[in-house]
Amino acid sequence: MALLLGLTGNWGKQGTGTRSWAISGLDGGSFMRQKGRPGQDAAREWVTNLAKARRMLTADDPTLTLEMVTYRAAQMAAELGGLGRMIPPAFLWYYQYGYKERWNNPDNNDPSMKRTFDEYLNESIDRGWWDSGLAKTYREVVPRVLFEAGGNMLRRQRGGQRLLLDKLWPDLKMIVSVDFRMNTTGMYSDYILPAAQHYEKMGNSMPSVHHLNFVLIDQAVDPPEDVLNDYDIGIGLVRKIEERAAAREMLQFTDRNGVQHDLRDITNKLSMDGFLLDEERRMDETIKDDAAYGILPPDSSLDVARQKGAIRWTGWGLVGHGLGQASTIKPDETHNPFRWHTEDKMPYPTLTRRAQFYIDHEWFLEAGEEFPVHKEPPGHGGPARQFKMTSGHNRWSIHSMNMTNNILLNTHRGEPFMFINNRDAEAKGIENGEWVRVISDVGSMQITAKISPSVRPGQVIVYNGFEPYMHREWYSQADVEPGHVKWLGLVGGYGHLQYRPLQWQPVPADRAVHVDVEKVS
Amino acid sequence: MGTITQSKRQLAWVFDLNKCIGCQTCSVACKVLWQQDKGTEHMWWMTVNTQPGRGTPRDYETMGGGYKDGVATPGKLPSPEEFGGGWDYNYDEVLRSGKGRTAHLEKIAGSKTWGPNWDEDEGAGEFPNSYFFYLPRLCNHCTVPGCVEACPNNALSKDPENGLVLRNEDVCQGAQMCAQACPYKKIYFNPSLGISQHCIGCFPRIEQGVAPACVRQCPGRAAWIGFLDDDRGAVSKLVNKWKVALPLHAEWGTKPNVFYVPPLAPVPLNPDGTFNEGGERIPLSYLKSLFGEQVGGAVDTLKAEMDKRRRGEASEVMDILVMYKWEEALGGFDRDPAEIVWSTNGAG
Ligand code: SF4
Ligand code: SF4
Repeated sequence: MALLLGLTGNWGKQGTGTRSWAISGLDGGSFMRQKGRPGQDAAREWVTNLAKARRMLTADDPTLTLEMVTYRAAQMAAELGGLGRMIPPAFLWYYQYGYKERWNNPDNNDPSMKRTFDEYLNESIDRGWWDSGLAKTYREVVPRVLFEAGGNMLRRQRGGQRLLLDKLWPDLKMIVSVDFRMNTTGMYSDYILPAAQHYEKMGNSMPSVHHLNFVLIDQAVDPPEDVLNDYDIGIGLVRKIEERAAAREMLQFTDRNGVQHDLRDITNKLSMDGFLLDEERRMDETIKDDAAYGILPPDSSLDVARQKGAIRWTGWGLVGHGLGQASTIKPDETHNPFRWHTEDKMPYPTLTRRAQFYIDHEWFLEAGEEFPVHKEPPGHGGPARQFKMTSGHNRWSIHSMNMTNNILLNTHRGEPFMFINNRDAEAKGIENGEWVRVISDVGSMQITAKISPSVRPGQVIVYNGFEPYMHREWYSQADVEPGHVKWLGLVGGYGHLQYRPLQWQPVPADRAVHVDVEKVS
Repeated sequence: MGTITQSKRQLAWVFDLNKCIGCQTCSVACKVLWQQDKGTEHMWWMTVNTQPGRGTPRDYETMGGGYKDGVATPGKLPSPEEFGGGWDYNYDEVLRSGKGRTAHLEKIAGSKTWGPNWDEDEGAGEFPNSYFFYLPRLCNHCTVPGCVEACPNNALSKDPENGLVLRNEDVCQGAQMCAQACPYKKIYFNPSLGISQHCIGCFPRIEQGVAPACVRQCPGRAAWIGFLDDDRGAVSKLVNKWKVALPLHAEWGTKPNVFYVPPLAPVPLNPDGTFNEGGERIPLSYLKSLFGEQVGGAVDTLKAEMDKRRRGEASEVMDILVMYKWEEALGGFDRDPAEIVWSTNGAG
């Protein structure tokens, strides 16, 4: 698609419509800790220092553009642990959850994968492509604590809950789930810390480049009973850690990266001496900092946001997510990414510094993917199975939010369902609304059938987000998906294909998973 | 039998079926505002269904009611099973009983075979030439409301100022003659109160200058409200001037005041995958069965106006349908509901 748009000149100019989605950053929140003290002077000092540091990064190559420097900085921050040492989870899955076997199975892979997955993975690590992603960590470290906020792993983990429950759960000493939903992972946790939902706390909607607005979500009602704002849950835990550390005279803590953390006075350190504890003040400070970083107009504040509901962005700030749009936001124009490249002729942040589709990395050459090509879906799920299962977001809730809410359940079938073509259903004797079993090589789930001629014959569609406990036996779509990672996702050390947290890294690609559908007897 | 007193003015709705994305925001907004009390579990005064489909209540189009040549036609009272829905779930059993994986979330109340949006996204045709669209429905606040005339207790009336069909719940005895007479089957029975209930057009909001929740909440910018005689308003222009918005089943004789901009669709594909330029994906005959003979003209006007815009010419119809500013949907009822102190005795 991107190639087609590129070849037809359909990007980087007004009126072309199609573009990719990216979540941008609202730096006011992201850099709250780094700026150190309240007030916008602190924010401006932080941004000046950051700009200076970034200029230093261009010392060896003055031709680097703002975009390139930003990416380089993100990568260095990852290396230095500035982003809390995120680890691409694929390595955890591979070393500890039992995915190794699946990913090595040639039946599950594209025929152009010439060697075993093991060989590719080991080579990628030996060549240092994932050093900053700490790929090797999970060879040695066994996770002991699972602390998730809004994650719901047992629903989302492609490849299924079985692997997690069989291989990870027995090692865990404590499982904590922070969520506003009573979800399946919560049912397998030691502690559930109930968090306030939207409208029960102050927040802002996702900073999406599609609408270019800071949208305030104000608190409309108090959270019920013992439910807390997630910030207050975090601070409550920090307070407790501080208290227990003092009681045990454990003043310092060394993390797995060898970094020492002082456990004294951490509540004050993390809250700017209490300044951030107040929700309204925290939001006001965030918005004012956003203005100081140039993302919002200079006079922005919580008051202004409350008055207007939404404030249009004026700039991208400092993080790569926004800057990657590579276009100047103009007050009365729609936004199209890449205009810096097409109109201002600024080089692209790629290996060749052009819009680059040709990747002459040896693995891509070996796979015949040096150019974008069409390939049939790999055999994951079981190559001989009749249907290909795809997914998508449901319409009635946002992602998996409110999936089990009574009102929303009443706006559809009220139970998990799978779309199947009318002719396919007829051939299998499946009635509309009937429970069926969907089977792949890695697992199966029960779900009801919904028959529609708008589904391509041979395809079945299951919206993501149904809670496992909505299905009989508690297995859902993810339990049928193998959770396959494509080996080319392990490529690094090549121009723009470098590990950066939240961006380029090996991820599962469960599209068109081969499944069978059977009537439940 | 109740008598219909005509109102001075008439409020009307328009829904653009090309823009409705079936998101159910309107129906949820209505549900949350009006139907949260005991006895209303199964009620959805606002519904959005996939067409072609059996709708809600199931097969309501075959249930009769309304008028033929000015004479009231007998109608059927839909059963709770036909309305469907009203589901409640075994949350306690699943989440708190300790039964683990042996208990999954299941319906413990309401219909087993139908729901207010049971046949969502099913539609008709054969792949790849299948088709469907969404049809939002509420009480039509008809100019000849069969429900009003059928009521033995005179509980229903048209508001003299805006034509909304209102119910005096103190007078209603739950006879349900209204529900039989209404051909759109938009009247529900409240077993807890022993009365019938239906959409009142968010009358208390209208009184305060606030648009109904279904219109104000629509993220698709697919809904308008306004007075039919307000020549400068979007509703009047779409209905009266451009005639691109048509009533549903006008042949049922109640002169409904909810109007629909008919859906267009891409041309179908030939067996070899090429476009069948002259073909119809949504058969015109199907649209005629819903919106009458005039739908052909409405579709032609829409296509001609879209062509104008493609050529860079001005088009009032397209400008209205695009709805550049969402306040344009509100027909002047644009007061912010948040600024009003609402109280149960209606004082604002
Ligand atoms: S739609 Fe039905 S309930 Fe509403 S006014 Fe018309 S006849 Fe009465
Ligand atoms: S809110 Fe608007 S777009 Fe959504 S279903 Fe209702 S009419 Fe359609």
